[in-house]
Amino acid sequence: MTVPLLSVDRVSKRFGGLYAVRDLNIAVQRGEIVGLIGPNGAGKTTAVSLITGFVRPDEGAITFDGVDVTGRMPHRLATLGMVRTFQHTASYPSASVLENAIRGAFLVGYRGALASLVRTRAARVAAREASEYALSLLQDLDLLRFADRPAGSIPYGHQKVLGLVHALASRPRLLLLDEPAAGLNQDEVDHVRAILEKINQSGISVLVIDHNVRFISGMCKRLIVMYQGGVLAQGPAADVIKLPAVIEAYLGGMREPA
Amino acid sequence: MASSLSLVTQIAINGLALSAEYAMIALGFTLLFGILRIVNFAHGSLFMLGAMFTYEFCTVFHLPYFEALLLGALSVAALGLLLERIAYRPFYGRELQGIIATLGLAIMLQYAAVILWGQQPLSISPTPFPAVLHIAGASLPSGQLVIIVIATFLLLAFYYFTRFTKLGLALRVVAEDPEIAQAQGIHLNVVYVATFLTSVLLAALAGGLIGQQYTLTPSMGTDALIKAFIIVILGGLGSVPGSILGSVLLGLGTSTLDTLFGGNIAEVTWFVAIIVLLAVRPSGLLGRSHG
Amino acid sequence: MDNSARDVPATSSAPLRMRSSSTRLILAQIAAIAVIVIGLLVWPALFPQEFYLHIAILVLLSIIGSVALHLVMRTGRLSLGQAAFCGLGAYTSTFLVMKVHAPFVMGFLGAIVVPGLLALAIGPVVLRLRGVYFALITFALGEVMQLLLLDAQPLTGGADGIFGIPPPAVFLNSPVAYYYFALIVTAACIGFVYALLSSQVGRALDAIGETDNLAEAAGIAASRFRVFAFVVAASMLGIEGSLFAHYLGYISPQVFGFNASLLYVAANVVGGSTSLVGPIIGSAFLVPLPEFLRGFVQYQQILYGAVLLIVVTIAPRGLVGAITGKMRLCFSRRKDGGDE
Repeated sequence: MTVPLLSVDRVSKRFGGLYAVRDLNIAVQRGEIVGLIGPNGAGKTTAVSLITGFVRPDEGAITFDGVDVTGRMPHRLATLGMVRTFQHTASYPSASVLENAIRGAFLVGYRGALASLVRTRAARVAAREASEYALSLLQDLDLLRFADRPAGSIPYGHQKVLGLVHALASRPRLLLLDEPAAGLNQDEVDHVRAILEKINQSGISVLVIDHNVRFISGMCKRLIVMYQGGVLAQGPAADVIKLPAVIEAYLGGMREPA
Repeated sequence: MASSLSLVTQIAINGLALSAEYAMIALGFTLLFGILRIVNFAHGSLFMLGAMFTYEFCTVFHLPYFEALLLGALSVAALGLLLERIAYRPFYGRELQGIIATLGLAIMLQYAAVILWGQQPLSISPTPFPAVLHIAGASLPSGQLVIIVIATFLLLAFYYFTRFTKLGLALRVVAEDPEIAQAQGIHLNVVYVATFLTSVLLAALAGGLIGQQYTLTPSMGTDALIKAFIIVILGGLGSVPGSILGSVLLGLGTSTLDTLFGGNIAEVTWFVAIIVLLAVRPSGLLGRSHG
Repeated sequence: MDNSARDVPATSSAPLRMRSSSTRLILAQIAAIAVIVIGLLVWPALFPQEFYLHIAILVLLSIIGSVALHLVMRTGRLSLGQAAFCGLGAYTSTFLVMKVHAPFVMGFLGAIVVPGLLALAIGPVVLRLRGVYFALITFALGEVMQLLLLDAQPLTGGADGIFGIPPPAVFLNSPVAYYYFALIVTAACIGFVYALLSSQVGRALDAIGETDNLAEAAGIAASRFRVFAFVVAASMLGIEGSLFAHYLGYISPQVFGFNASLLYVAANVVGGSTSLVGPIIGSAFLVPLPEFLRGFVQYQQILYGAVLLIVVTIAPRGLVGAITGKMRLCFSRRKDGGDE
């Protein structure tokens, strides 16, 4: 039994008097692409926020690649190689697409405040590397033509892809994606799926939250189903979605694509 | 000695009077933020204008005090309706620009007052409530008792209004979630205008009431605004019970500190208290913020 | 300056960003800068009267503070209490020079360090607040600093202020000399902030100015950078305070109150807060303004308030935003795929 890349052990979080997440146990193995599904309010986004440091757990432990990262700040986790995206904020709307990508590559291009200010050789080299990597990502994902446009002005589907570029730009090892295909039409969803599969094939582990059954079960071999703050079921995608408990939890909640 | 009882009583009475004054100032301010998400930097100026207009109606038009008070408050409210068009409506939803706009407005109002009334301190005389009560060795000017009574009445009326009237309930729903309110058929514009008017009226009434106890200058609004700020930080912006709690805290605390130490100790203390409060509750006073 | 994407300045909304497609724009900008630099250097020759030099010095010093606030605003925080740091710097410098009899350099350094330390102490706590809450708390900070300066009579002379503050050096006793001194310091401050904003640090600042969450996800320590900007700004304001004190020869707490803080805000609003040029232009415009209505202080203030209200209503991006909009129209060629 290999040590998982990410291990969430008995994590709980209360807001006010209510448990958003309770006694949560999740693992992500190296190199896998796993889906996190569940009806609205199941706690999926909260789980991701807890894992990536945006919310501090009340109980439990989170381990990433052997390092205890419970309650650490998100930027620290990014340096360790764990990056998330957001459901509602795909990108920086006022900044250009290129700037978005370069900001995502910040860790690649930064050598400390003093070096950055004084423009030491190392700092300049790093900054160039970051810009070039950002450009190459934009090119790979066919966003280069929008490079100078404000991110908020490009079509929504492209903004979501830009969000992926931003996340990839820091060369993460684990990506946690919050509804990367939400609000997209079928072509765009397929496009995102192709991108994610390519990302996974390049060695990056991925955890995806989404409501789109076909999208997520086609892409992910393993699914984790959350319900009321805990894990209801997990296992091979094809099996899990047929479980009666899962179907019931979802009654009316799971959306088939149009 | 009997004087320590009378000292405590004096502090308590002063504190109560101050709390009542602060509550009136803070209520309108927090209301505007809770429902309209506006931080009205001109709130103090409206307070000051309420005092000035009351003064004007009392000493120039020779109206009896309560009539002058009412007329003064209504005049400011009428002015407020005009100002809402110019300096508030364009900035709904644009918090930071609204701050600048209301700041600009505040400056304009304050110096317009300087032009109209000069910078010398004025007072409403003859004072409408000259009697002074004596309770347990402490003194309470009847004018301050009037403030306490009216403030309490206004707060109770406000409570009743928000709990038991249609408009009041609509107000609370809008404060919670404007979209749901709209979906339920509540006319947002009516609520907004009603809220704005209430806020301005409260400010002006507070000014006119407090004006009979203190001297009036165009800069008195700044001090009132600062008090409002402190109270809403203590009690939570947008929270009416919070404002009341904050007012009582600030009133009693200031009274205690002023009596025992004098100088500016009270003001400095409050700021330090706010910083400490923030350090202890790092997510801010209203819990996880809302951007 | 390398025009390729490798040296893209920190924010692509900066109106002075060079575009290889519009060399005419670049030439126009260089010409404008040249004119301004030459004008600044010969100003005392053109306008030797003490009055004009006085105004010029005040504008220069005010620019330091406006630019400092700009740095904080870039990280997404509007501070209404920056004058507190200016006052602290002024009194620190004065105290060190007059009471401790230290040389001006020590006073100057003290004016940098002490406000910086204060910002470092309260920054991490206060900067957690956002939007109006932060505005309120900094407003309170400004008021309290003023109260403290008033109360600390033995140290600060209270409401009477402090008289007879000596100039930094004997040869800086004349307005002309002080003008160049202020020009050098201001230029250095502007240069420093420009270098900062166009570096990777500036990129981080702009990122957190837009969205903390995305920045954190990409490894940018939002809080740390924000405190950094806050501390740098405080130190710059301290510099302004020191230079101000040793120029005027007299300081009092009233000078460093809300009106002063508001001036920095107004400069950024009127000039435009999206680029460094904004507060510079804003200060240059607003500081001399009262001089045109001398003798009518109340009307000055009403005009001032009106200017704020009008600008934020019709030109939310300030003068710079309006002007660069026009410049873009005049100079840039539209590419296929569109330009905003």
